[in-house]
Amino acid sequence: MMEKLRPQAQGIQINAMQFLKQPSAAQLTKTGVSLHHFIGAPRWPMLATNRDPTLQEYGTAGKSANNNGCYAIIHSGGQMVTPSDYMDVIEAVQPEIFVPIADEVPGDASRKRTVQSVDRTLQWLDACLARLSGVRREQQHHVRHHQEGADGQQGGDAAEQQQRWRRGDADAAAEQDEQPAKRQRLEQGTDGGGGDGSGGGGGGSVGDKGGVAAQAMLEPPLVLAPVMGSRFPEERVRSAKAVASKPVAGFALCGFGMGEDAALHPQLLSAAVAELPADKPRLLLGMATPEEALEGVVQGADLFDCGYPTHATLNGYALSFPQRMPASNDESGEGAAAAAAAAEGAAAAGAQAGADDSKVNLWSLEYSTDKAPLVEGCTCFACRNHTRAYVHHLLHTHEMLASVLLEIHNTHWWLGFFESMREAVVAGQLGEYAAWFKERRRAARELQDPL
Amino acid sequence: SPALKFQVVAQQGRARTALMTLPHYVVETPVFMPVGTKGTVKGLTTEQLQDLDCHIILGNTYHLGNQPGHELVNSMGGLHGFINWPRGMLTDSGGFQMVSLLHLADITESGVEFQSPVDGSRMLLTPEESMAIQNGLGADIIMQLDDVVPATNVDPQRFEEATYRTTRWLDRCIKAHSRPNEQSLFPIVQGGFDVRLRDISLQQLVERDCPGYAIGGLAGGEGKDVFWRVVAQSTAGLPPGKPRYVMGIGYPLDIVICRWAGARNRTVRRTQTGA
Ligand SMILES: [Zn+2]
Ligand SMILES: [Zn+2]
Repeated sequence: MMEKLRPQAQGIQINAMQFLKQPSAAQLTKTGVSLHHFIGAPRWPMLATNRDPTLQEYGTAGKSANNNGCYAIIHSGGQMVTPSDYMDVIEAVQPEIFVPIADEVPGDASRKRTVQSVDRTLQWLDACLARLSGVRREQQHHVRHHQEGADGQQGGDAAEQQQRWRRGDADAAAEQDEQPAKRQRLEQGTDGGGGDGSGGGGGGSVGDKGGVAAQAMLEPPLVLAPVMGSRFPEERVRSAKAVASKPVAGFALCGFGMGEDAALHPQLLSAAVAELPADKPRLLLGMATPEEALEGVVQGADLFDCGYPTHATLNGYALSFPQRMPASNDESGEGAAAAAAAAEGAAAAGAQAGADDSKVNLWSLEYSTDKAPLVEGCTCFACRNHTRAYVHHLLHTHEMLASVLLEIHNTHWWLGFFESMREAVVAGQLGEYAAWFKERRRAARELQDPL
Repeated sequence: SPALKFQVVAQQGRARTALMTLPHYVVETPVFMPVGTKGTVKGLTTEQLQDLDCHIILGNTYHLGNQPGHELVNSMGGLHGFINWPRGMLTDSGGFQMVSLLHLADITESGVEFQSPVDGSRMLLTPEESMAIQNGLGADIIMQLDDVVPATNVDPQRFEEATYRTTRWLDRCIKAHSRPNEQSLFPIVQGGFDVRLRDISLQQLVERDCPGYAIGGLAGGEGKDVFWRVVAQSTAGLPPGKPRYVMGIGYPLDIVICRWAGARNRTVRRTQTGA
């Protein structure tokens, strides 16, 4: 079903901690394939992070962490995770990009604990990078081995494999050139064309070449270095400065959505971003609402995780918050008034108990015979094919398909929101867009309950 | 029949492959019909079902009649429109599930009496009511209300009574069926494991000249040899040019044997009974 979310959807995020156990790194490695093939999504680039944006886990952040590792809540309970455990998972999963393990602290952590978190995360980053350069050396050895012995007797899979290995070799030789090449590969969304559909076949051919090859990563993944510092701007600056010159592909702005005051975000983000090189991507984790995500874009974040659409789905909501600024809204002074009027109009028009200006509550009895799509005008798979009445029925009968259809719509809606923010940046109108969006949402909130 | 055309394409012994033309789809048989109890096959979209080459699915009258109710489904364009499924659909009578799901179900000449799961009041599902619900849901194939006797029952009198009552209820269903041009009503052969009763049931139902037939009263825990014998007897007694539906079979081996014996439509019914 994920194919239904293309072209807006371009990658998958996974929480590396969920692969500490069942399946563990060792179990996954034994399958002989990366997580892409394991979950049947060979054509999707994968980002592995240390947290799951759909879980409220900050209550235990920083609990029992020490210099050796941190505590993670996973599906089978909680456990201590060392940087080495974490890297075992990364090697088994083989994501294209990952965020190394970080010492997360809650939003109200003391300055002393925050300083410790910044220092500890830096040490762990160095440990992860050292482990990766070990992998790279091992790869170079194997590439030479294969180039000597295997020419001329390879099938399609093996030839493709060879190509991937050569690329890994080039990466190691010219570290500076590594990032653009990889970025291009990510944009293409595949590993070099044609061969991805072969699923497990690719992994099998690695295994045929000898046990070690199957266990080593094809190429080391890109690293997004964590920027910590919690609610202290000077710690954010110190952390960002320390990672700015590391040999990494980009940066992960961590430690948000941990119970801190969202009003601090602009200051904290701008302090950190100012220290980071402009030509590398910044991942922002833990933004909880559309306003927070918009603020992240304004402050220069490039990549986002997403708990918001999933939370809407779990509550039986279809997201409907305004995404696109009306084209006529160019008079800067009148923008806010127009937005407020629009919000009022929308609220009056949709004066239904189950809906406000940001979401439609499909549990509401009001929709039991409603033949309209989840959200009027939406082009997602769920809205093109199914009615509010049907989703309402599926919710009330506790059918799995309710979540499937809502998650398709909500993810589509959230992706569309980012699309309109991109368009606003291209048009040089992000400022107007942000003002319009906030006013529109504020006006709507005064009229109705927010999500 | 205006709502069902059945063309045998190839035959081997009693087994055959055929094209069954329904108002919504041309179904290739023998065919497995996935169950979409409450208007969804677990977790799958109707588009995915089409990708799986699924030709026909089941809906359960008892569940859909409770929630959201057949009037609502009818106002939403029938079950096809409500769930957006363009292909074949079959609904059961609702009787089997009442007997198997509800503890206090009683069968009388008027119908199946049961205690409402909603408010505990006594309710009655008559052949006429089953037809009204199924006409509202609008499936391509609908089933008669039959008198179901658990396979574990040891009273031969009870099987005899059920055999004749099933025919009487079929006549009431035929009379109450309001959309014969759009929906095909299938009778259900009863008679327990008694060769004589099965023959009586077969003869009476075949006389009614219905568009297709179902073989009921099986998969209730009886032995395999008994099961195969009854299926073979029933398929032999049914008209060769009409579809046959073996109800409630659950194991792959049964399906292979039934096909060999000349059965057509098959369903794996979820074992909600624990029987
Ligand atoms: Zn939609
Ligand atoms: Zn399969």
